[in-house]
Amino acid sequence: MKVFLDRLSKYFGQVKAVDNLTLAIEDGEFVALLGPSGCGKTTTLLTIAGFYKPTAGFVLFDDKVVNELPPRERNIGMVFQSYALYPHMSVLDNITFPLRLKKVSRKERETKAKALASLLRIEDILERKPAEISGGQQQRVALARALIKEPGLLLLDEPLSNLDAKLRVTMRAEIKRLQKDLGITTILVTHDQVEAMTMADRIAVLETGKLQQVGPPEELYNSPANLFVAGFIGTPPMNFLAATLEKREGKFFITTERFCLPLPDSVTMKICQIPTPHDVIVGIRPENISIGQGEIRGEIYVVEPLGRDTLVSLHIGTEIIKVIAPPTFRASPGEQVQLTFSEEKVHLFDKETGKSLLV
Amino acid sequence: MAYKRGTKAIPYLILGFVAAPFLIMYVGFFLRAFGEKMVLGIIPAQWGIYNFRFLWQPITWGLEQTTMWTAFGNTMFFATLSGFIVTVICMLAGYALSRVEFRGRSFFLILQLVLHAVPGQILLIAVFFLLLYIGLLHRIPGVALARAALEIPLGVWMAKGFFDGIPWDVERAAMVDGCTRLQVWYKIFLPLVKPGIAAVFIWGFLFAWHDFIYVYTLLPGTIKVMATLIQSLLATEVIDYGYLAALSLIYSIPPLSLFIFLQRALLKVPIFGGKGT
Amino acid sequence: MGPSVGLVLLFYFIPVILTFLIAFTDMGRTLIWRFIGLDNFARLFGVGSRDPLIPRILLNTIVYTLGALPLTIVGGLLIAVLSMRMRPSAGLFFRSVFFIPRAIPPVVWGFLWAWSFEGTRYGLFNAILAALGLPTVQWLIRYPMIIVILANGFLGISLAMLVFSAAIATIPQELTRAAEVDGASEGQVIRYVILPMLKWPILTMTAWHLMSFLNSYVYIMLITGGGPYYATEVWSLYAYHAAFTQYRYGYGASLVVLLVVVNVVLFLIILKAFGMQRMLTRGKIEV
Repeated sequence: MKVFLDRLSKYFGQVKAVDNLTLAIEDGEFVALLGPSGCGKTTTLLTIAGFYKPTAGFVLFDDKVVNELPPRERNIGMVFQSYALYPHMSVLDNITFPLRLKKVSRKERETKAKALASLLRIEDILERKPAEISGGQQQRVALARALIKEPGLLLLDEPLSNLDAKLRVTMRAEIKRLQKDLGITTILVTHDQVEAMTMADRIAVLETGKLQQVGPPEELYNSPANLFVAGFIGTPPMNFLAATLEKREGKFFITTERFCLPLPDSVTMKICQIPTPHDVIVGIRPENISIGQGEIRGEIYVVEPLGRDTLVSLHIGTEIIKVIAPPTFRASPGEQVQLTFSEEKVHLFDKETGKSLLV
Repeated sequence: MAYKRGTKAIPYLILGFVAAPFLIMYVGFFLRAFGEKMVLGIIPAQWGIYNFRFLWQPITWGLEQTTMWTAFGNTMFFATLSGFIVTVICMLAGYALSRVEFRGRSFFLILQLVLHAVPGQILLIAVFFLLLYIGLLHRIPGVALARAALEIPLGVWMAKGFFDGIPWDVERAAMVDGCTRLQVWYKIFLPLVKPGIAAVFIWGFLFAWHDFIYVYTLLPGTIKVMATLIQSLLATEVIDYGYLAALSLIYSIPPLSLFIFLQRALLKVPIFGGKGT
Repeated sequence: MGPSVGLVLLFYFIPVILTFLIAFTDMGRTLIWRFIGLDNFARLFGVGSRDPLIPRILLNTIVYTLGALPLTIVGGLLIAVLSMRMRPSAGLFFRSVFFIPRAIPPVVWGFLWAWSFEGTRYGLFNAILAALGLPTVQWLIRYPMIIVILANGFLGISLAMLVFSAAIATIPQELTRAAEVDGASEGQVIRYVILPMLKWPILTMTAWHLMSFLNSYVYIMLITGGGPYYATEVWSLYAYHAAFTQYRYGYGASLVVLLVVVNVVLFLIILKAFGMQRMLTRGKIEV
């Protein structure tokens, strides 16, 4: 099923929970709605499901407006954050509930439930009550219940947030694989950027009800459209430094009180129209800084070995930046070091608007 | 944590002292009901069920006569009917107030609250006239209806609380799964609020069972319920306290046992975790 | 929705209006509507043919309310705090003993008091006194108001104590433990940790029982009947007697109207203090 959100808005009184959101989702695509809590992602999902009516704009399923359609007629499956299993029904009854409402025969119901149960590996607990099974199992039951009526669209509302860290990694992969196998259009709501990056084909980043950027995970990572997306995607987050963009003898430089960095041609090409001098925010990811030699001087603040690599926090003047160093890196707090930024990987944002100057 | 022995006894001493007169009253009450031939007025010389003779004999006072079973049956009918009315109305209204957005919802909630400002017992004069005009005065169903109305404002809040306790996600899940609003009600809500239904019914039942002033004022002297029967016997010239204690005991058994049950039922209401928004 | 609104309107709204209407009539045994303007109220406020009992009734109501209310709150707190700091089984025993007044029917509670304080030697406490060779006391004649206050106060206590105990039970144990580690004695834990956390339940129960005592008359009616000679006749009981024993419905209704006005004013003050808005939440499914 194709989903198209056309200039969708949802207000609660004065609060604009979703503001003029346009988003097209292809058949079979896995899209994540990503943002901090209160950004409007859950409201968007509930509007797609039909629990909220749009204040303005349209929700289209396969090119048909479904604004007025009640949830039960939308042919959707949904997994809730709390799973919302019916506490008074057994696991089997929970899974077959949608089919019972459709008056599907008992035999067919059980066949389908058994098939799904074996796919999700919950055959052994079908007779139990939701309160008697673990969180991971509850999650699988909720998935089975959402999938049994073979919906055209699967909605996942923070499905992994109630699981422990280890289980989350397993379920992440399982859900992704299941989605690919079934080819079902899926919308995932999450505040966890790792979840969105790992699972989704495309990510839509939302903030205060507005769509910030939409695209495949690598695109969001490599060319964030603004400061918000740049800061939200990636752990540890991108480093930001206030600087001035200057042009001297036909070449572009970024200068701060501490250093002056020439920009390579690949970057210069994109910003040659910008009048100089210009106040900018320089963004650089921790893995794009190397410690050893270079023009930029810093002072070690703390060193945190992570095993695979080492996270180093440094002072440049009064600012703190984070650097990912090789696992062999050794230094003690207070030590003076020299740094190099990979110029190619530098991001530039307009200080006024927060928009990227490179896209 | 260890305390000094002396200070630890203080709470027991204080509460024991306060409770003593009541314990004497309760124990005296039992002795009076089951005792015969009292020595010094309080200590029974002989145990027996002579005081319970109303179980097989008619009760007479003045020129009037009834049986305990008639009064007990009337009380049961009155309380059950009242409890039933309270339950049906409160459950429907509680669901609507908890889940459905409709015009006048806030107004209705505030109205229910403000009604607490006017307790039913002081509106008795008007209720008397009202029942008189609609032809239900002096009839048990009419008085049960009026009595049920008294419990509705609080009962609706109680029922609303039970429905509020069911997460929105469960309801949303049911709607995604294909339930209509009505199906959500009887397939999901009803099974989940069963303990709540029991609690609201018992609530309505108990208040009607306990009621004195409504039945005393609005029912004629010829229709006796337990409360008015005991009151009539108390108002006679010669009072047989043993007989009255026995009658009071029988009258108190249903509410006392229900209170124990109510406590358990309330504890059984399912409690959910999760975001619940 | 419909039946609920209907029944509430029928037995709450209409009665309030009916009460106001009847208050302006001299409705008596004949049940004939005849409006007499403000005569009933004039009588109440001592204009013209004044009611000589009113000052007495007013004083009784104030004494009764001001006696029973502190008894309820302080007694409820005392029992809740002490019973929650005991062994659980002992605490449960005491709470059960003090809950009995509410578990048994009012008529039985009334009977218990009427019998216990009966003036002859057939009464429970007089029988005990007699058995000890002491003179008997005419309790209900010598101390009617005290007995009425106690009987109602302990009924209030049964509810207040439960509410306070439930509130104490929700105080996290870490909090009292932290206070003990910080060096607080048993009394100081109660004074500085438990009582401040009971602020809202105490306010709620005070408001609730203030209104309850102003309007309740059933127990007084059962124990003393308002006597001896109006010694325990409070406002609401006087209204009842005016209407249903003297058949002066109009006058009784005017007494109730004043009570309703006092109630509504008190209630509005209470609501303002508690903030009503937070009780009203929005629906989350718009279908």
